[in-house]
Amino acid sequence: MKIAILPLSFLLAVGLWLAAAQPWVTGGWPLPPFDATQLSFDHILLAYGHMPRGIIALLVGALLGLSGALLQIVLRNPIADPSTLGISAGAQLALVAVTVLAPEWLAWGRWPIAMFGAMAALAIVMGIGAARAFHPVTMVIAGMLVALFASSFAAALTLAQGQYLFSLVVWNGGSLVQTGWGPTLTLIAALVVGGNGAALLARPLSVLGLAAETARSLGLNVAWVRGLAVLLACGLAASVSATVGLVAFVGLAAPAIARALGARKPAQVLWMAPIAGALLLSVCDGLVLTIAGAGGEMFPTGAVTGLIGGPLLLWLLPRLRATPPPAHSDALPRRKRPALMLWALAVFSIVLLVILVMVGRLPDGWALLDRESLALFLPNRLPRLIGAASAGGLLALSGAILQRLTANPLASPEVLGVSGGAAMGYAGLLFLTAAPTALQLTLGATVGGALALALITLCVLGRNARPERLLLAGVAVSSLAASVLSLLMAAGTMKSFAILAWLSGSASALTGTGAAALAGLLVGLTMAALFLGRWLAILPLGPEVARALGIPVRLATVAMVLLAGLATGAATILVGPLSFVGLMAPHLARHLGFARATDHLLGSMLIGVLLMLAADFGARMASFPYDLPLGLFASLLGAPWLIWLLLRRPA
Amino acid sequence: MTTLYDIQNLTFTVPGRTLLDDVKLSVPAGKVTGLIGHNGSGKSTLLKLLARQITPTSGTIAFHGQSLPDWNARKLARRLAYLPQHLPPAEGLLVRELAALGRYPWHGPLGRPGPEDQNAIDAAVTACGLDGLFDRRVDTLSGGEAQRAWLAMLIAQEADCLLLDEPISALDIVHQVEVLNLVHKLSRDSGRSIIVVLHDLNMAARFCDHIVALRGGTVAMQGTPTDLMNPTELQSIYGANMEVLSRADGTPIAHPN
Repeated sequence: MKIAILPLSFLLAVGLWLAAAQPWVTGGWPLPPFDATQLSFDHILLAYGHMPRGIIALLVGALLGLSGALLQIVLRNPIADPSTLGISAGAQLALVAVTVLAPEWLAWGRWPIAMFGAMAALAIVMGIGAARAFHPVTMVIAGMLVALFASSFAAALTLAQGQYLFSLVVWNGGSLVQTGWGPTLTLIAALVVGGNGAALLARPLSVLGLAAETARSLGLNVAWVRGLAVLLACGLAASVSATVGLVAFVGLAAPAIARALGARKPAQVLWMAPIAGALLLSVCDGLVLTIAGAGGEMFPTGAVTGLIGGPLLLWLLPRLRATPPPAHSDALPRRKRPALMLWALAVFSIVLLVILVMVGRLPDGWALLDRESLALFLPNRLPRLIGAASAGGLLALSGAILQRLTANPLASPEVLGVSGGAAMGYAGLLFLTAAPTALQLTLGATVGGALALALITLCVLGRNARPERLLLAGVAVSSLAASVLSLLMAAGTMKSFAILAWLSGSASALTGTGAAALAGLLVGLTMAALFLGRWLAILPLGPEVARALGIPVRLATVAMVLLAGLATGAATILVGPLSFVGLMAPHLARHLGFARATDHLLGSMLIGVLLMLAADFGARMASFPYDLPLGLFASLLGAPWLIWLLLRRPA
Repeated sequence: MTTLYDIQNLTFTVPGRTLLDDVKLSVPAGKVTGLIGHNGSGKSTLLKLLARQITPTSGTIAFHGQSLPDWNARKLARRLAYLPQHLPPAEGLLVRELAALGRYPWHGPLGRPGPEDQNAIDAAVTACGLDGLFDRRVDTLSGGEAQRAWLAMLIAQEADCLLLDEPISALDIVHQVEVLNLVHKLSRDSGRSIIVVLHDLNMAARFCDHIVALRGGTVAMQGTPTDLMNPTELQSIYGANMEVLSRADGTPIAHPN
């Protein structure tokens, strides 16, 4: 029944493509072999533009679907996709670095540089992973870190060096516009290679679907299979990036759709995901073509896939079968006296806050502020520091709650969709009203975030709500928001830049009231989370145990989601969507040895506070007297620290 | 003899398959009841239904005379403890912390744990023979130790009814006997009711007071271990030819032919 979606969407895609072809089909279709000298202008457009475009949409979708399916199987994570391992961020960093530092190299073309960056990022991730037999959890965390590090480094370079680089370095691309058959042939070759590789890997991957120990005892070289599958998946994704640029969301959604349509075994997912991906992207491209026919092409197809894929994924969610949860990594350290370390972190945060208030950078160097200048700076500086620190604490708290609730190392406040909703609210108000006030914008972001949170909560309330559904629902909402945002940004007005600035995060506009509200909320929500600490200690053991101990599982889940959503929403609305603090701080806390639920929550919260205090200092000082986005520094500081912790052998 | 569970017309289906079909059963209180049957006979499903982990497709279950859905969650957890077949990884937890989770139904999310909670935890860990491992991490224990750590959590829960789904599957023969002795002792000394899914017929016959055998989702027989241990009965339950021998003390052991 539901499988009928596939032929129906194929018909829809073909219909849209044919409709878009209509203006040029004067006097029939051109027939291959094409000879440009013999064809009319309309027929040239058809033969070298529209026809390869229809095929390339199918190919790109299939390649990304296959790549995502491989990664989700080997990393055992339903929200893994090609961007999880940092390859696109690596490519972007390489492009930006070359553009800023050695523009003459651009003469060789963008793609060798992009591929070099992607492969370098992958090499780092594989290098970290190799130390742990490419263990899924290590790979996923390493990938996310490299991605965060690379993209913030790229953004920092852009903002510090070239204020006019924006247009050049927005390497999103993802446009399927074609001017010949070359790229199509390349991608056909990639699909043939990838398809055969995946077919060869299908059986080892099914064995890997059992526990790693079982797979080993069945004679499988686990590290080799994991490494090969990741390499193949990244190669496929890179070939797509190199040909058409970044195409978002298809790699994540296609395997999820395949599983929702009943694919169960790895082999089934591996052949259904490419079909689902091809059709998803073709329908998206068909719609883009239809709109373009009406008013000119305004945006690349790759950026708007979330617009259709997001709602589709939400609709299919209740039909999604369970996937095995990500396996646990090897034993993490556990601190004997966590209370000591917590006190140390708390004292350190306060000392740092005081120092950062006192120290200033003057045009002629550093100085301890005297009483007069302190009185001058304090009303401006204190709210900003307290606001940034509180936002960091709130996001880290939210991340810790979500990672414990879902037992998924990829869970972060962003995955909840609340930041996306808030961003949509903010952008929506900015575009719909002529001159919105700051208060109106805050309200808009609040309403957007609240709506997204309500949507996610509804998903959790449904029957058989499982943590992975919560995550996928959040990802669907986030990518829907990302697509809407890129549509709005395509307008390219001053308002687009206002959104871009807000997305990067800034505490400079915070008022005393706002900062006090954030700090109050941080204290309140931390207390609430600690009160619910026993739930958070038991919920990671799974719903069976929780139920047997008399915990109202559904109520507890909703309470946790609301708590995390409130924390994320408040921080996002006042400081911007800086959710990687929420991703990194809980991992840092766990690797520092905070194992018990309450210690983990408090430790994450304090690390979030510290990261953001330091980040705010960096953001103010690095290119003094200009402010840089807060988000950059938080990940520049946190990512190397966590990578070092990951690489350190357990004692 | 008082009744622990009164089960009427219990049916549980998943799409395309009936796992339990119209089960009528009365489980006695204060005894060790062994739940046996071939693979896929519905043992674990029945246990999950009794633990209110899943809701029946049709039929009713009464626990201590009160319909199971009417029980308040924490009140039920004080009377009824359940050990799932597949134990989740207890990442980062210490043995004493895992045992302490068993006190949740008593102090709830906010209540302050008192000395009686600590006593229950200590006693449970000692009863499971884990004294020396109090501060060890559960994820570094051997399979048998981990299984006993979970059992300690269940005992710390101080429920008067324990539902155990294959509690000895990861244990060596010495620990199997030890755990089942413990289970038996819990029932005999403090009058707890215990329902235990077991694969080993001889263990079931030796340690249980009452046997319920399932076959293809229906009750094949119920009675004493002596009723069970005869070739005709075993043939009808397992569909396999079994021989029943007598040990020196007269207790029967079954052996496949």
